[in-house]
Amino acid sequence: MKIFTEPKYIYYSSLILFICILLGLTIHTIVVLHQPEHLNNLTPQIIQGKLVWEENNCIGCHTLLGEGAYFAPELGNVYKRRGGDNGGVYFIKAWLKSMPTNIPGRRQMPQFNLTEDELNALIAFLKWTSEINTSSWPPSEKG
Amino acid sequence: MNQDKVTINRSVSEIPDRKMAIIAESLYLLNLLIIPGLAFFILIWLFAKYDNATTMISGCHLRQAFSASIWAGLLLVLVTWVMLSTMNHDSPYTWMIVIPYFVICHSVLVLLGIMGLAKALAGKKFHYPIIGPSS
Amino acid sequence: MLYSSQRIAKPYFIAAITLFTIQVLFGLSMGMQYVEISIPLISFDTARLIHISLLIIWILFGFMGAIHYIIPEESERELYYPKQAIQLFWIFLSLVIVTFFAYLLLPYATLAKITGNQFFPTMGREYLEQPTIIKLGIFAILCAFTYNMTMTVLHGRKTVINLLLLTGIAGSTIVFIFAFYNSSNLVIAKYYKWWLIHFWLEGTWELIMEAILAYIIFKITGDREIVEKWLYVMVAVTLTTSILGIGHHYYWIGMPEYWQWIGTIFSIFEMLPFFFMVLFVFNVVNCTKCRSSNRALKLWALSTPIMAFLGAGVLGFLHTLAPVNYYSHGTQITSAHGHLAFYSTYVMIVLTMISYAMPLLRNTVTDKIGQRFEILAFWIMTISMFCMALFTVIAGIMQVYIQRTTDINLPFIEIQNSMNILYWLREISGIIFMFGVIIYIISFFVAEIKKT
Repeated sequence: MKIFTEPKYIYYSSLILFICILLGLTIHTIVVLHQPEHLNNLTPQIIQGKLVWEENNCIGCHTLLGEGAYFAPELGNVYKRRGGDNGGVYFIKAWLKSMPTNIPGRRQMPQFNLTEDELNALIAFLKWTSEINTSSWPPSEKG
Repeated sequence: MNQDKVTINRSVSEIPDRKMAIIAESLYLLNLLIIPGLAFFILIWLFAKYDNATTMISGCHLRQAFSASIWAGLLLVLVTWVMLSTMNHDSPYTWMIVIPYFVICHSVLVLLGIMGLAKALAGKKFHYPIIGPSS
Repeated sequence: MLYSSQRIAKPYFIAAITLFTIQVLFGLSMGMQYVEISIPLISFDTARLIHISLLIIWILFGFMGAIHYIIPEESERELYYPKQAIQLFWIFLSLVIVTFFAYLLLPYATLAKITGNQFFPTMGREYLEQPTIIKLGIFAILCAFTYNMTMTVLHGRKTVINLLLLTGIAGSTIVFIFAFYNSSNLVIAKYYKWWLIHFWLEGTWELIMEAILAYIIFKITGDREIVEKWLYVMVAVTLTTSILGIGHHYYWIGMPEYWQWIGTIFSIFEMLPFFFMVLFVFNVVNCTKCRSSNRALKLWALSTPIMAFLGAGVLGFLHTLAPVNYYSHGTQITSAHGHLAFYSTYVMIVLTMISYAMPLLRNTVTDKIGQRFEILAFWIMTISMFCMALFTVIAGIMQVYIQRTTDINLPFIEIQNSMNILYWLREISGIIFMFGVIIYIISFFVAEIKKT
């Protein structure tokens, strides 16, 4: 049938076109993300904090910018939700240290026994994450 | 392997009025998916203009698509409207009922339409369960 | 069955079904933690780790089994390295078992320390939790597998189906390289993570799925030409829509805002492959005489596109548009879509293939009782999974409503507690699903093996 041989070329050309668009947008996106106003001020502490985040499998219960498990609250904006610069640090630190709460009928978070260094790094990472320009997501501070 | 080539009915495209059947089913789907209303008016026009009482497949698909479109309109627009106008908008339970109802109802209707289109393409008759006329 | 190296598919299928059962069990334990926190069998994050890792791995096993079965037959020759193929199976299985027990017995942080994650961090990202060394192992296995299949096809007959399978597995292997890239900038790390996840699930795996479906339909109807024509259409639509469809993952994770437009527009068209799958199956299966006497197979093959349309298509479309996704991103709606989409596309296509190949591999083609069990299992599994997704969607709508559209200042946990009844219903559906799996397994044991 003719209809299946002709579109072959439309298909190939559109495939190449879309791949080119994807690569072009990728370059643009990466360039944008490297501009100073888009948070490339990554300090070693933030990088360490990301490692702490990953090595304790936080994504296994929480979401970060909406990605992860939906068992526990969103943490992309937790720094701001818990008081920002006026208390976010203390709240998160105290929270992590007081786990598990052992309140019956409530989901439990494990105790990760993080050192003071790791706690500060993790909080620096969460602070950095809360400043990412997410096009005003989440819609509510509750996450 | 000789099994690869089994003789089948190669003259599917030569069935008379197959085109009209395909158009009728496509309009049913278009009405549900892309241009609600407009596609339905074209379907009404075709239904009125062409002989829909024949036993040929075009008549069958025209009748079926026409009837199914009306039912689809009632189920999707009327029922949803009644639900929304009688229920409390400030309660999450309203949306927990209306959204799943609309989504399930709509996707089942679309699935039936795809099956109808598949039959029309194959030059076969098709009968929408419940929402299509029995003849 | 024509070639003796097709037998390699059998251990792959057995492993796939076993891992599937374990995966469902861990899913049930997670469901329990959503409702009955007082019996912690295993911590939630470990259970989830195992649940989603096993999902990916067992479907990979299923695909590898299917490909081992299809490629020799389509290429009209034995595998190029038949001995190595069976060795590869045992290597892969031992790798999976080691990883499974490492996840189960060690805290994740300890596992990260032991495998030296701090020197080359790749762990701790959704779907990519495997230790770096295990990722390397998976990559090596995929490479070896692709090499063997490529050599087989190159030295044999080339058909659309086996070339497409080859494209699928080679593509999966290449894309897997992104598993090793984890930028210290979270946003860039997320950007490339989706290149792996999206192009596997909505690209290369979808190609493999379409090829297997086409093969099965060809086996049912016996008309290769028409199947290949439809296959061209489905593949073309899949590839052209899914490449830029990746934009629907980039809405709210710090990317430029034009991704919202690109993602929304191309996601609408990502429905089309499923539309064509349904059209294809119902067009082709009806216009020829069915030759296969395997009723269970026909049921699987005809329902896979329908369920894929509902799970991957409709449920995906429901929350893929940027304005909708703004509210639904990161809620139970995503979870519902994930469950039904995985079940309806990948689980069902693997079980379809097993339904076709296993009777031939085990010589039980004429068996009727086994088929009856299999059909029962099909209905139980499909309906319970549908209900599970439905309850999760409803829970998601409730979550979105209370958490994101009102000013009610309830904390996350309180909102979750108010959805307890829906989580109970979901867990019950899950338990029924488990019964379905058990009946499915029984169907292999009650089957009558014909002596030759």
